[in-house]
Amino acid sequence: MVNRNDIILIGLLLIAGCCLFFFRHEQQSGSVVEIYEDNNLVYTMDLNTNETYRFVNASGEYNEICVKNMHVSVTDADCPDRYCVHQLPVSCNNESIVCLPHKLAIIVSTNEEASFDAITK
Amino acid sequence: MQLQNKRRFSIRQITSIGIMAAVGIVFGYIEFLLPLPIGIPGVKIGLSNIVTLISLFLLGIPESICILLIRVGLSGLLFGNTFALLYSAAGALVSFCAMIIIKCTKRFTCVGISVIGGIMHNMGQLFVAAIVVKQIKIVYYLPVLFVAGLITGTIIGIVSAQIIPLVQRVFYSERDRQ
Repeated sequence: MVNRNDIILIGLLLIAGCCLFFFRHEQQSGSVVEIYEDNNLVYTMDLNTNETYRFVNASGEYNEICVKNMHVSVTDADCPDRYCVHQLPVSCNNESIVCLPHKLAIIVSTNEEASFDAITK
Repeated sequence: MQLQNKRRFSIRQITSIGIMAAVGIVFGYIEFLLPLPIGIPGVKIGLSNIVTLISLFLLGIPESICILLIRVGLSGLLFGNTFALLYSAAGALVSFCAMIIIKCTKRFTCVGISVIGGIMHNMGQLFVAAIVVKQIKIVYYLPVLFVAGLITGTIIGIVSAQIIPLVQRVFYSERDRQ
């Protein structure tokens, strides 16, 4: 049923997977939430506050983005698949919630990066 | 073109394609109803990959392509929307190409093929998502999706390895009766 090549393949892929996890930066909690629509920064939220932002795009479609207890989640949206609403709240640097139908990316990042972006802009 | 190649698909093959596509759509629907509760969109068990594996082993590559296109197209239209269709089509096509390449080496059993398929399915979806939102940062999820594809691919491969001989027996015993 399983031959030696399969075992070697699975083993190698498992090692590759573990390496990918290692090379990923260690998880540090983020401090700001950046909301991008089609790669344009539309809004920035502070993770330390409790805030709800209602994103509305040009066609009147919306995502309700809620920051609570240092975590960000999408509480409501009118996109057809609602994957963004079902995704668990995120809090770590570089974690993201994506709403494909609205081309929306909600990305958690650290303060340093935000100030760095502000300087280069 | 279809008329010229009248004998391209026999009635048996067309029937097999129809049955396999139907089974694939049902599997897709089961997954649509019972998503994995791990909070990362796009991670699925990949039940419909069982159908792709069976067709790849028992029917052949042209039939498998037909089954795949019918399955992805119809499930997208029936339960999803344009974006779900784009998502799953990208994953399905990337994983299918990878599985054919791996199968052609003739060095791996269906477990190895399924593992590659599972991983490439997730990679395809991730890159389509990254292109749609134009955000390379979501590649952050690559390790998670890679390992998820590895695990689900192994499970589906072992399940398929059990199912393929059974399905084969049905196909052959019917052929003997003719």
